[in-house]
Amino acid sequence: MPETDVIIIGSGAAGLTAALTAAGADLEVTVLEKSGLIGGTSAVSGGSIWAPVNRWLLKQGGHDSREDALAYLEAITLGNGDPDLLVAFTDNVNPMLEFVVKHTGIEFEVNPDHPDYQPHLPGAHTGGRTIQGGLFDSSQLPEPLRDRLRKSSSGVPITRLEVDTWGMDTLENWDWTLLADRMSKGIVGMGSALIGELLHGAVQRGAVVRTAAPARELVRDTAGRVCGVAVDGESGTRDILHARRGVVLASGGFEWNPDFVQRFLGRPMVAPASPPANTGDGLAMSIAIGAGLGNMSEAWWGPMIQPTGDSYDNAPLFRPTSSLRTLPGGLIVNARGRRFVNEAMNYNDMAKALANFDPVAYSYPNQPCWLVFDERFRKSYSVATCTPDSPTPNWMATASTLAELARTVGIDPDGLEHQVREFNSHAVRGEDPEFHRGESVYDTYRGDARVIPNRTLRPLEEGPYYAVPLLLGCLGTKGGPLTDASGQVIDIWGTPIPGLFACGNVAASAFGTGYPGAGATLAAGMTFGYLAGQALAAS
Amino acid sequence: MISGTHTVEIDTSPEALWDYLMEFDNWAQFVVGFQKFRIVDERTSVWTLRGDVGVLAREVDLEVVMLEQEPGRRATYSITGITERLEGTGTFEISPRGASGAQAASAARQAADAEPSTMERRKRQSWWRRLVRRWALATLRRQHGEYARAQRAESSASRSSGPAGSASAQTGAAVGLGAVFTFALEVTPGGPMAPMVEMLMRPLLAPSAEDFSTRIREQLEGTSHARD
Ligand SMILES: Cc1cc2nc3c(=O)[nH]c(=O)nc-3n(C[C@H](O)[C@H](O)[C@H](O)COP(=O)(O)OP(=O)(O)OC[C@H]3O[C@@H](n4cnc5c(N)ncnc54)[C@H](O)[C@@H]3O)c2cc1C
Repeated sequence: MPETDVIIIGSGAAGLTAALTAAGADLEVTVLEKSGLIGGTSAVSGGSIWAPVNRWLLKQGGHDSREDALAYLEAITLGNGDPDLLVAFTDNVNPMLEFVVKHTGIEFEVNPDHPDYQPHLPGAHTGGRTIQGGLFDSSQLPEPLRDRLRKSSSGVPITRLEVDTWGMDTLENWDWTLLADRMSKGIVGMGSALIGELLHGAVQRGAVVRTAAPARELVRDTAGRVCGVAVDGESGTRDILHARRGVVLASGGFEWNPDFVQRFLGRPMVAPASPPANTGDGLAMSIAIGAGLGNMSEAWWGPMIQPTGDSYDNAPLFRPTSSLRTLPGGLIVNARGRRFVNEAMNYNDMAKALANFDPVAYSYPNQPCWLVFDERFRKSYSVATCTPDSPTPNWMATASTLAELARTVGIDPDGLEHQVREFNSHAVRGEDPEFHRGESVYDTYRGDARVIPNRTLRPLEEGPYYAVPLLLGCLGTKGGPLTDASGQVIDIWGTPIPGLFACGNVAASAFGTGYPGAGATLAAGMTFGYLAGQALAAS
Repeated sequence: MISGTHTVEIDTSPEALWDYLMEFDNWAQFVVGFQKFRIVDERTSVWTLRGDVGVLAREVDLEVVMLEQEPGRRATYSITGITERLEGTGTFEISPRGASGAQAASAARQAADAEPSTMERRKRQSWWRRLVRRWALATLRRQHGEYARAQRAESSASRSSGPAGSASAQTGAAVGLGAVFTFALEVTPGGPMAPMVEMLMRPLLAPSAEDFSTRIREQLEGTSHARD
């Protein structure tokens, strides 16, 4: 029977950090990846990592403290987070980063301006907790892994800081000649670069990464210890791979499993932005052996655009709208033509408003909803990949008047006209008395600095007008097996399951319903991956 | 501007090939990423193509307008992106096979080798562009596998249409009824992302042109079963 010390299920950032840690401790590691490509959601992500009290901030003279971090985490989890996990995260995120820096070529930079996602909460900071890496030259990877490194839907080799500098929604300002040159050389950026670095570090330390190798079942010995995995081979065989030390579940969320979504998520989520291999396999495997579950109704929510006809990995491509929603000259309305939320709010919390339930009408009144904007907006910003000079795509409705636009897409025309009049009457002064858009430091991190006095607000001006549907989506779900502070899975009675660990979106997130700041999901996944790797090395 | 040209010999008369080409239904499915097309009027049609670049795929609508046509010999179409910024042309050229046909094929091949200057001179640039660039990649990978199989299967017929003309055309050995068919595609992506689009599409155009013309030959000669 083939044997190794540690099996990692899933090659996202959580799994590869566990792999790097275990391989760095001289353990024999095999990573099983279901897809033909390595990196999962992590590879299509922005690659930002949220790390309170990080040394890159402190080096710049910024300040932060463990107390602030813990106070903020308690507040953002509404006091429901497991304190042991929150402490474990806070105390280990920086050691994890030091370890990763030491064992890979990653160089991080702090983003001093990216505010926490709820900057008014106790312990929140207005910048400096988000760090971002650079580019990665994928030609460093050995064949065949080089061609198996997953790239984002755009595949554009750009850094997060360049995106911030050139403008996320002003694609015409990007240096496309430079980007094309990088791409021709096999250079990748953001999440792909993070995965490339972790993968490179792990394989240099002897880890084996198998693609197109979906794990199907956990194998236990007579004492109940998880000691292996049943894995499908390319030739259709099912083999048992034995693990001397244990198994780490790092197979991402269940957002692409409609049955699980319907059973577990409390909201009608229809637009997952991750690659479609995340079908909750790890969740199913852990349920099968009696894991305790937590946070099952939660996800890293977000309102998504679906440019019809775009697909990724043969599944519909849903694109996040982080900064698009914050731009002046647009607003979001439901079918009654009414706004219902501060459009510039962080995506996780804003999207929850898309799922509000009206008990009288017995429906979700904000589903569907649309981003409505004017001609100046259309001529100023890119909407998904539609640049201002591109022809208007068929997924973007347009009409010369607001009423006509409303009729075209199914909004109440009177409601929309009335809403825009009301919105404009305040926006002209840069104000939004109803939802306070543009008042928080988070809102104004984005927007358009050329628009004053409020960079996220101005009245809608001349037509033609445009509407794009926004869908309730997520970056990934974050409910699953409960773990202790070392990442070890605990069973339904609270007892650790020997030999089984979980990290990343497959596991119950320590952050509960909250999203602390940009990079918090990768940070948590990597930190608990690191802790699991350490625990396995010590076992 | 990026381009791709391919020439094949086909065992059919130039007239029959012309009639075949004038019916889009006959070959639309051989266009990389083909989804659907709609005839607008005598000269104009609108095409929806799906292009793949790696794991990303996108559908693009293109307007195709007949620019010039010399029945039995040549037809040129302009291609303009409706949903993406791109322009281009696609040209069919037909000549009879035989001694002069062989020369025509070899001339066509030389023209293909000298593509950039020839194309600039002709001032009929661009085509499918960025759409195709993306869609073409994944699709072509798939098609290449099939095509390679088809080529292996028919290697005994020794009618390979390698880059720039078949072996039989180059040696002048072809005999009997036949037509030399050249398909040329030129695309100029527009907009700020043009450098990236060009970079991605450049390697795809020549294989697209080859795949297209080869599939037409296979269908007309009844060899498409070789793909299975
Ligand atoms: C567009 C976008 C941008 C984002 N930007 C950021 C950001 O900047 N910072 C941040 O912190 N978060 C970001 N996120 C969220 C973040 O990417 C995810 O939360 C995180 O990557 C999850 O990591 P993971 O390792 O748990 O799972 P994943 O990265 O999804 O990896 C799971 C892997 O497991 C594999 N797998 C599934 N089933 C099996 C099986 N049965 N056997 C073997 N393998 C299996 C999957 O194929 C996948 O490769 C973003 C998300 C998106 C969509």
